[in-house]
Amino acid sequence: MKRRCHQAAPLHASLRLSFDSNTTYLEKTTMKRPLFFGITAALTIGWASAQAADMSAGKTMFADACAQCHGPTGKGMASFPSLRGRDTDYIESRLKQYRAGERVGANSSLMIPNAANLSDDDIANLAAYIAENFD
Amino acid sequence: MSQKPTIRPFCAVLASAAIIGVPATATSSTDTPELSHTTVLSDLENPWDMAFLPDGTMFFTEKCRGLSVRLPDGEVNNLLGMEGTEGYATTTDDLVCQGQAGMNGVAIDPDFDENRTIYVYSASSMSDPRTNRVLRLKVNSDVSNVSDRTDIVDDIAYKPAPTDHPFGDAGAHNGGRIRFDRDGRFLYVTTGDTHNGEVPQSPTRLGSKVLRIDRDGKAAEGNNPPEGFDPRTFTYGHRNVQGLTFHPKTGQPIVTEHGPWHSDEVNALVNGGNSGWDPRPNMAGRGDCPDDYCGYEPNQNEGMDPKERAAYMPLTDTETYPDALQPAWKNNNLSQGISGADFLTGDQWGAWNGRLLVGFMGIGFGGTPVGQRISMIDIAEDGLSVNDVAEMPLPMGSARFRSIVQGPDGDLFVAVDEGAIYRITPE
Repeated sequence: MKRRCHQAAPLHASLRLSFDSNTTYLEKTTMKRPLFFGITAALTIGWASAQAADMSAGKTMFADACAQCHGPTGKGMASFPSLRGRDTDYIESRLKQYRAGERVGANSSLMIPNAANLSDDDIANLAAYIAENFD
Repeated sequence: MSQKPTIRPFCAVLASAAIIGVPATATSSTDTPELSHTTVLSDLENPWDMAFLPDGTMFFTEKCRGLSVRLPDGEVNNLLGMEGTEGYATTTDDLVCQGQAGMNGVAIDPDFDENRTIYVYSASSMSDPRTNRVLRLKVNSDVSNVSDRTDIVDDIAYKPAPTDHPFGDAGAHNGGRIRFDRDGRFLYVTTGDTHNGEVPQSPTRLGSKVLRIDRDGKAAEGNNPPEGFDPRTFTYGHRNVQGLTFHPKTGQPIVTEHGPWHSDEVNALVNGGNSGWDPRPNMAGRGDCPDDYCGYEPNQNEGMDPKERAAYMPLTDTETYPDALQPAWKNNNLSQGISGADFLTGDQWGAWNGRLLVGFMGIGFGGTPVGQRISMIDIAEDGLSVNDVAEMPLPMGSARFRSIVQGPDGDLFVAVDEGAIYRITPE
């Protein structure tokens, strides 16, 4: 089972917080119209998931920025490691470490500048594409 | 050495017949060919080098698998496997793969018809610490196995442990190309600096050298290194040489040399010459460096202007070594993973006849374009400059071009790290 998009997590968290409170506007609103809220929340979460798992964007980014070293099928080349069998958690975690300038492994000098300007969405898209396509 | 009967997996044989003929338009000159390509082999693991018999038989290496051969009918036999491989006629567990190291170059003895001898360059765990070796092997009559292994060189430098450098894993800067000269007299062997500051200018450590040896691994008659150097040394002071060929007219050896975040070089070698690489700490105005190797200084992890970098840590340090070999070409001061090289010869190549082909694997660091391509260089006959550089219009697109070899019928064969060997034909 692939991990769901990470953007959904803050939404879940905010919902959970709102239901824990007796005084928020959101709670009052949702308590009065639970069905409407449920549909809205479901649609919102679904939309967020679709955005995060933008395979097409991930595929394009991979082809442009990753395939030259990791290979078009992610199997690794030369001294560049294979990405096969890596789940989204792993890929996201590594890319965020590199984005933060953290050195992880012998190719950090190449990965840090490559990850420096990635957005959270970029990372989620790449992670989803890699995890889904390079089992 | 254990013996196991084998042929290569059927898929590879099928792949050898696959044809992807996509013509590519050449340059505007009317005397340039259009190119088409076929996929000779696919599903390979890091193919590293090829060598041909006149009938088209192609020996090839895969870095972490070993030595195989593709026969003219397309059948592939796996000959010599490395540690952990299966399906090879012979497997030898001391042949190991790590990082950039593994089984690299392959060369066929010019007298193969009489002696059935080939040579390969491979990392080996037979010594402690590990070394790179040049193995001499005998090929059996039906080209299905090898035997009579003799390690004619067993002391080429190998990087045994990781260091704090880009590409810093063990096995880095491992050289590995081997070629006989055009006279078929001596074998040339390229080696790397192994991320070790002392190796390039060391008289005795066999890294950062181009060796010239006979078929037994003895120093070639006429080698002329400085006093005190290992007599097998033809040239020294290199960084990491992975391309080697010989000028079709003069026979002069020409190498490609990976640059340190700047300035990949093409160098025409002169017997006894120093290529001018010296990454020792506290040299030429530099201070201490990570793990005593200044090769990526002054700032090994972040991009900067390649010219500024070159001024601080030159690949050819002519201030310290005024007599250093001068590069014919420096890739516009960029480092983009220069690798295999060969000359293109034959009238079928039109205006490109005589061009030096150089493959680039591509490195995108510090604002440098990745640069995967094959460059066609019109190198001056004296090897000291270039007259023109153009990019070959490739029918199969870009890739990590590891090895470039002109085949016996004049077609061009290129091996890419992605796992294929292509054949390029002019039309």
